[in-house]
Amino acid sequence: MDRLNLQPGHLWPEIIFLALVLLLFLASMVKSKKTAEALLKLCPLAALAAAFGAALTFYLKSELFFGTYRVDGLSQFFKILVCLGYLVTWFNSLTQKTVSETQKPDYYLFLTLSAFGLILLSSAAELVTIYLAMELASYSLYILIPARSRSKAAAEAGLKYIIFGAAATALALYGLSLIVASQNVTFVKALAGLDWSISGNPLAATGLCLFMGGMFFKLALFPFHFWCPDVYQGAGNETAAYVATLPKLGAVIVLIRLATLLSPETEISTILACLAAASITYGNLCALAQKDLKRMLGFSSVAHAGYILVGLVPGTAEGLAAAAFYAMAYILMNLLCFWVICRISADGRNLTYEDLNGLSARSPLLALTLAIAAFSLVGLPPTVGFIGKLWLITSAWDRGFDWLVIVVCVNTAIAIFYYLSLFRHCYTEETIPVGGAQSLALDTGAISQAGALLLGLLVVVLGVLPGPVWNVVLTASKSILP
Amino acid sequence: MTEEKKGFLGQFLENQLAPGRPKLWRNIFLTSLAVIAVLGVAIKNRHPHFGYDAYPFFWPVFGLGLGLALIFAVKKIIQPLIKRPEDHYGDL
Amino acid sequence: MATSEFYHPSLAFLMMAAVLPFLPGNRRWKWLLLLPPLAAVYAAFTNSPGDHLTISWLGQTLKLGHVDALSQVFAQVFAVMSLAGLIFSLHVNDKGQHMAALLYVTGGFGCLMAGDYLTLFAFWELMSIGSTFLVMLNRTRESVLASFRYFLYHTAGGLLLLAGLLLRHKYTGSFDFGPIPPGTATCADWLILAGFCVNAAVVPLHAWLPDAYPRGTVTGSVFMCAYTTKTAVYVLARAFPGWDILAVAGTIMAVYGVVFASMENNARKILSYHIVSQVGYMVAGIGVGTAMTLNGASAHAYAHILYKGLLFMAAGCVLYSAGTQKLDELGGLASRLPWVMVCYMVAALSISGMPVFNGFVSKTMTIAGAAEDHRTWVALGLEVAAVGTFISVGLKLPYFAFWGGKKPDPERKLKPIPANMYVGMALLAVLCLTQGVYPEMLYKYLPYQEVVAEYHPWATWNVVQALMLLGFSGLAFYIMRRVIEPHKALNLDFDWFYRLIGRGVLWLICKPISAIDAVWTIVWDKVALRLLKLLAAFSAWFDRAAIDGVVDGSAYGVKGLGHLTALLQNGRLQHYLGLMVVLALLIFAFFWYGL
Repeated sequence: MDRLNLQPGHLWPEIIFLALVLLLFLASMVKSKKTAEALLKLCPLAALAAAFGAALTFYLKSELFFGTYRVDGLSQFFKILVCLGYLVTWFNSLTQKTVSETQKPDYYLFLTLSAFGLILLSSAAELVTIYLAMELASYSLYILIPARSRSKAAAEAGLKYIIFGAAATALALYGLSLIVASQNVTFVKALAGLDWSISGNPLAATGLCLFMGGMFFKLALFPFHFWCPDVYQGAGNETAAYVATLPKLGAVIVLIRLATLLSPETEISTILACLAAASITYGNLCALAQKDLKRMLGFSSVAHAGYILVGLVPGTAEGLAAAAFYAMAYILMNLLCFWVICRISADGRNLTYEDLNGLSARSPLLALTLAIAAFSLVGLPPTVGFIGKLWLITSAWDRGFDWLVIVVCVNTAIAIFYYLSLFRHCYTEETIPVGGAQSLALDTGAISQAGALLLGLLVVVLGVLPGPVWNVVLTASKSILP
Repeated sequence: MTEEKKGFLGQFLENQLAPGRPKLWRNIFLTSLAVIAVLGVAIKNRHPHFGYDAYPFFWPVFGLGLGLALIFAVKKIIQPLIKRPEDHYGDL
Repeated sequence: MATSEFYHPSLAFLMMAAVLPFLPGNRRWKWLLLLPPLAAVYAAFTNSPGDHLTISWLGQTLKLGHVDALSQVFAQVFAVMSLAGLIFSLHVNDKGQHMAALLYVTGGFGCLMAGDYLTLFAFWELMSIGSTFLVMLNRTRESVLASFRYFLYHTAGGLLLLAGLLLRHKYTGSFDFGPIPPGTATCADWLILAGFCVNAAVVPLHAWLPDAYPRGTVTGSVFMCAYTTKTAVYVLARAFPGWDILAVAGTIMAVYGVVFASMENNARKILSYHIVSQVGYMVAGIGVGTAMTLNGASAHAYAHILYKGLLFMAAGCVLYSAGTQKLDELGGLASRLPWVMVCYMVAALSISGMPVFNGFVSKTMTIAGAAEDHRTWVALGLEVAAVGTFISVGLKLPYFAFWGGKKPDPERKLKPIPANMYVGMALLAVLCLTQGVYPEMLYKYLPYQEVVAEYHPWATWNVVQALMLLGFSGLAFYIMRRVIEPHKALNLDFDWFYRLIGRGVLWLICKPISAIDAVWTIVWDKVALRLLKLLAAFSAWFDRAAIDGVVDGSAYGVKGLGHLTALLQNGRLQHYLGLMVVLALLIFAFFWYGL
């Protein structure tokens, strides 16, 4: 029996972000540049306030808006991550060169709108709401991708993203309709416990698979990933930083909620496992051949999507917690990588491995933090990537997915090559390529150093002392399982 | 030839080397020996250790006889057998 | 911890030795040298009995602070001696000599306080090292060679001890250092006994003593005469009381020592042989093993350290001043070194057992104890040694050093003796006198207090007997004073055998073993080395060809595979969409219908 149950006290992040969106909308219309800039400066403060608000409401368990909107520990955790990720991306975008001055307020408006959409997605507890929130987040991104001035590649990337996204969401909507037809209800809570096997309820199974396909598109999981490398390569560096990280959080939270519908016996779990394995392997193998850094990171995110799915497959609380934790870890590591890339690429150009040569001499801090990010992406101790992978593996082992664990381990070994190439080029390669990014002025300002240092510290500290965060995530995961 | 300044004891000892003094000391020595011998006869040994030392003249005879025998044996018999030049081992 | 006070006397000595090299070059650090002995004196009087400082090391319990009446009486005299010795050596500027002395004393105290054999062994070796340097730092060819022989010999003795204690551990399972009943002797106990006897200079293991002590530094020999042998006496008293063989050995030592002392020319060598003789008294006392003789041995050790130290100090002063210690080169010095002569005579009369001095109250206790126990031959032998002692040390040495029938020669240059040497001698002389006059001072600390009251040193008969013995021995000397006149000579002792063994071993190593080694080197070169090189070449080839091939090959293979798969991303949106749908549906279908 659901009621409207509007409780502003539970909706702090949403309200703040909505207000921020409206303010930025005003800023984009205002003529005076000064007012626009002043309003822009509100963004990080708002993000911090929203994160704080989400933290305050962490221990709640309420259902709002007729039961379509759940505020619980898991949703608030992801909201905090979205806010913090948004904060970092905002700082990252301060020095971007590829968006023209007149378009800047619009850029931030859509960035914020996308984050807002992701915040809504974290709490969405009903399939249509999920779909709407996801679309809100995606449309905003469709506009951001091509906003790289005078770049044909950006336009191409934007087009690919839109059309691919449209196809994927069409499939998702089709799946949604099949689910509604077969199960007659769209609330995730109500869908749990129903029959999802192909033999018992083929319509529902098909529908769920197709609906999840939409999520996999956002997550860039094989075979829904083909947009990923091209879009990252085409978009501006700062935009790619956002696209590579935050939308995945949204996808992960939805998949976590949907994972409560699964159990190891159903075919869907096996499908997920297979997709995860294929994603990991395919992503790693393709990344080996890449020269452009963002393209490499694109393929690597395909692989990491697979890793996250490994946690979802067993359907236990530890598995879900591991998936959530690894999603957080992935955001951190990728933000750090992109942070360094944006600092090096002063004119907004795409970087290749050669552009990293000699970084350790030019800026030891950036080189070190990039190395830390690389080690973390591989999964070497004492970084957060190692701990995350460890928990993923332990949650999947001995639950019938041992082959998946072996695939994860073999691929970790393969991934060492291209991640440590980052390290190799920073520290050991000295040859400066002609026309390379070494001729650009390196951004070694206070914000750049502070950001790199902070993210690097977080990666290491969370790797060494993951206990508190893990406990939080585990509690949250336990609370959503039936 | 520098004269060394001597303290009172040094002066006293040097004076004892003057002619006649060594003989004086020798006589003092022999007199005290006689006194000791008489005391030895007078004061009996309550706890003889060896049986023989209950006799009154045991200890003087023992001391004198053994002393003479020791010195004779050592210097006249033993040392000639084991005496070697100082640098016999090549250490010096 | 008010009832249980313990301060390990070694500690300050060790710290001083460690700190000394870093102290500045001017003379003021010398006064710091007096701190460790003062602390040790305090500790010796205030340490409470018991087992302190037990530490656990490598699975063994080491007892570093075993305190009881026996160790306390030795600790007292060690502490007093260290004070006198360091005062005596204050004029020495060579830090190395001071460090050697400090380490040596550390070892001595450590051995006293050892509650188990491992600790004992460690400090035993430390003593041996310290004393080696005390000889070596005299820096003449003679001394350096002597120190080398000394070190070899004492290391061999230490090895006997080590073998014994390890074997004992194998038999009994413990390293505890305590009395060993004579009847239960095992091979291990004999080895330990041999090791102790080396340091105690038991004949025939004694020849290192007259070889090394005369060749030490002036101040170094003063230390050495006190610690090595008395530590050995202590450990014998603790571990082997009542062993008959010691009674026999002690008597032999006592007589042997005075026989050689009577024929020697070198002043400090006479005193060294005398150490053998006096330690013989103590060893005999331990061998007899009754409470009175053990008391006597302890008392004798106490008194001996004091008067022997004084003897070596006085002889050292003569050596320092006149430049020689050979009696035939000395003489006519009484008026020019009067106080040295006085101090020497105090010590000489003490060692002879003249009433009023401390030797009297200690030596006679041992003899009385032996006689009480019906060991007639032991007592007789010790009396013979008493005669010889008085003759050689009490009369011969001072007579030929200070008088010798020669007039004082003004042409003879005498180096002035620094004041600290006199102070050191005075300290010991005063103690010798006071202990002689007031024997309670010594008897209060003897280990077996219950039998102390049975012996009255100042009984009239004892005094008269001593006077008779000494007086008439003196007469013998007077009569034979020409005969006993010393001449330059080297008297063969058991070290002839030691050197023979040493040369034999050297020959063994040089001739046959080196021949074998030469053959072996050829074999190694031609055969083994070639084989090794062949093996190395094969390993290198295998590593490059096989292992690297596999590893690199697999890496390149995977990279190539990566390139292949990346071809799928050809940039065409229509291909992407098509692939997405087809692949997704294929996978779904496979799992829905296939499985």
